[in-house]
Amino acid sequence: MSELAGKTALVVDDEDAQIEYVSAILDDHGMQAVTANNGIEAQEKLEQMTPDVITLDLMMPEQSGMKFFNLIKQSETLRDIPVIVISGASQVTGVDLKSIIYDDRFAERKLKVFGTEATPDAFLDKPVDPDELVATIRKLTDE
Amino acid sequence: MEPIDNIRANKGQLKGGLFKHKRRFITHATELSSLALRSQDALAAMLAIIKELFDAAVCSLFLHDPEGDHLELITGSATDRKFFSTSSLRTDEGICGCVFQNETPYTSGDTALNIVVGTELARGSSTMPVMAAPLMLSELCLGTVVVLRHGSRVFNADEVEQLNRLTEGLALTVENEHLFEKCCHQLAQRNRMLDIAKEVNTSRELEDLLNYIVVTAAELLNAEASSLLLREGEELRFEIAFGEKAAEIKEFKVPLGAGIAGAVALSGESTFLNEIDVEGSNIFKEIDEKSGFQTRNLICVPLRVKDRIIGVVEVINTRDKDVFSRDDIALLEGFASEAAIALERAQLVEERIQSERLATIGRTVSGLAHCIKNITNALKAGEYIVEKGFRDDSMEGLRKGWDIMRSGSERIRSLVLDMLTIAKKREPEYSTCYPHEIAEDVVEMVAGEAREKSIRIETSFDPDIGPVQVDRNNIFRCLLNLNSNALDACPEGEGQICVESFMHETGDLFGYRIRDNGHGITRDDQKKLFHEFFSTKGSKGTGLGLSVTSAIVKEHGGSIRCESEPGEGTVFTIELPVRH
Repeated sequence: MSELAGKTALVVDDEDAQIEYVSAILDDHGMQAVTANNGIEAQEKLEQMTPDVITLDLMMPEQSGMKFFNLIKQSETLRDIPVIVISGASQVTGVDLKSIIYDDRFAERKLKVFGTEATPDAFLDKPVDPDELVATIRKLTDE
Repeated sequence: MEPIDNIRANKGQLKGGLFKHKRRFITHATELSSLALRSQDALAAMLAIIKELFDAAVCSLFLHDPEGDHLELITGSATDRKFFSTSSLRTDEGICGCVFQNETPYTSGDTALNIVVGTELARGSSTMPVMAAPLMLSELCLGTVVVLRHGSRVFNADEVEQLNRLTEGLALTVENEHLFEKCCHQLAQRNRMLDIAKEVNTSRELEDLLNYIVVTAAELLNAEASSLLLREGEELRFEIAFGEKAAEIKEFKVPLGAGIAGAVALSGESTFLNEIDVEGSNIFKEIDEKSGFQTRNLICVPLRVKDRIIGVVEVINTRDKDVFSRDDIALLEGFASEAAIALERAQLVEERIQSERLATIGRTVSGLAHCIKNITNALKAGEYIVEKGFRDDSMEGLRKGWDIMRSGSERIRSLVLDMLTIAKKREPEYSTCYPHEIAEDVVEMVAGEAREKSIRIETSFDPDIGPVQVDRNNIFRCLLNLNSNALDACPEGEGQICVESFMHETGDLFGYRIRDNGHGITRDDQKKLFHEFFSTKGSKGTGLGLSVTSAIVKEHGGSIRCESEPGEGTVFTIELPVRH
């Protein structure tokens, strides 16, 4: 179990409340949050820093989380950064995105939805549970 | 028809009196044949000719009415009618009845009138020479023609023979008249069917159509009541009934194959029942008991679409006769085939409307759930941040969390307001104001956000637009929505928004134009702009702003449109009628 203090996360969400929320949770564990409101902004941030983990909303204007995720996984330098998707899409659309992402039977559909065969390292539903988020980050940054 | 040839052939045997009429008779007959198809006139004319031919006082016709089984008096003239005190005879009554039954002619010199017309129908005690002959059409006796003469000259055998021959022509005329009437009747029915076909196929709602079908079916057969049963799985449901006891009948269900309706629905064969059949049927007893309606007779035909039977139409209790006939079945079948197709179409339309309605409800509910979910997510975030603020004893944290929660509750308020605006059509609350004042207030309201994002807002208001009547608060909402959208679309730092007010050349419309240099809207998205819950703003947008704006503009009797090219910005134009 790694110590989170001093680690950095890139928090990507179009909604300020969610950014503040995730940032506050991270702050409670001594982590630093760099924030971006959309995929394009997030790419700009990634040019300046390399976070230990990325938390990513899926439904965003300008550039969707899926497109951004796709770009990260195609990049030699960025593909190893763990990505935690934090999304309200499952409840809203009624589509079980978690199954689509993690169940091999939906591989084809996943390719269609995400445009990549790569799988996010974790998928958390909104509103994210602080303990779950922290545990997930611990697990992913430990590896 | 051969009476004329016979007259010529029998020339030698004819008495002088008869012969001198021959030429005139032929002329008359020719005239008759050229008469229009008004057979009733032809019949009267023929009776008049016969009367003249035999120098008779009266020449009348008793026609057999098979339905009532009696002889009905038909006379050529009003004077002839006076000889008879009745217009109807039993088929065994008097000479006429006797001739009709025996199908042989009769002559007598001094027959009392009471014997001619029947025992109970005596008129005076005078006697007259009489002859009568049956009206034969092939093997069928249609009635009796009776000729009476003043004086004492008895009709001789030749005259009787002559009359007998003439009746062949008369019978044909009678038959022609009958056929003519039938033709007229059928033509009228055909025209009625064409009208009905047209009427039944004009698009109408299901309920309305069902009503039309039962009312028309009863009218068509001149019946007391009718009902329509639709197939529902293995049952027939009384969909609609017309008549005094319609409401009671509607409650009734019939299993497929049971009763007459069930049998017709199963076999697809039309059928009719007379009184005796009805009396023997339990199902009718049951229905009659429930409805308090007494079924005397009934006709039932299937409603067929291609090879499927979708239900049956029943017509109950004839008004003008004792039983339904084969003709009635044919008529009702013709009607039912039109009705079935119209019904099927209306049902499909109804189903489509219903499924569209359900889809709309589904969309609305999931859209609402989406909005509410986003808001509760934000509230949860605010809650955590406030708690953290307390934990850290951080005023800044508290304020941040509190702002998030306040904005969340504001979003709920505005969501509810938007939903109500869309769901309920209201009358605008008109008040007098200057259009540019509303726009100025809106611009002032968004100025702060614009400054933050370094977006420039220009205004251009037409100073000539005088005071008008609008719902000030709601037009404010419209302009605020459009300005907020423009701010969201504009790139920070180089965004530019222009808000204009304008007057239409005609002077009866004024409007607003909100132009931005933002990212623009794709063609596909433009089509969905005004749909409820359509948003490109992710969790920030409810997808109700433009629906609300459009609803308000429409309540004012105005219009809204959007022109946009991706990457080149967007122009929204609202036009409203000028009310003073």
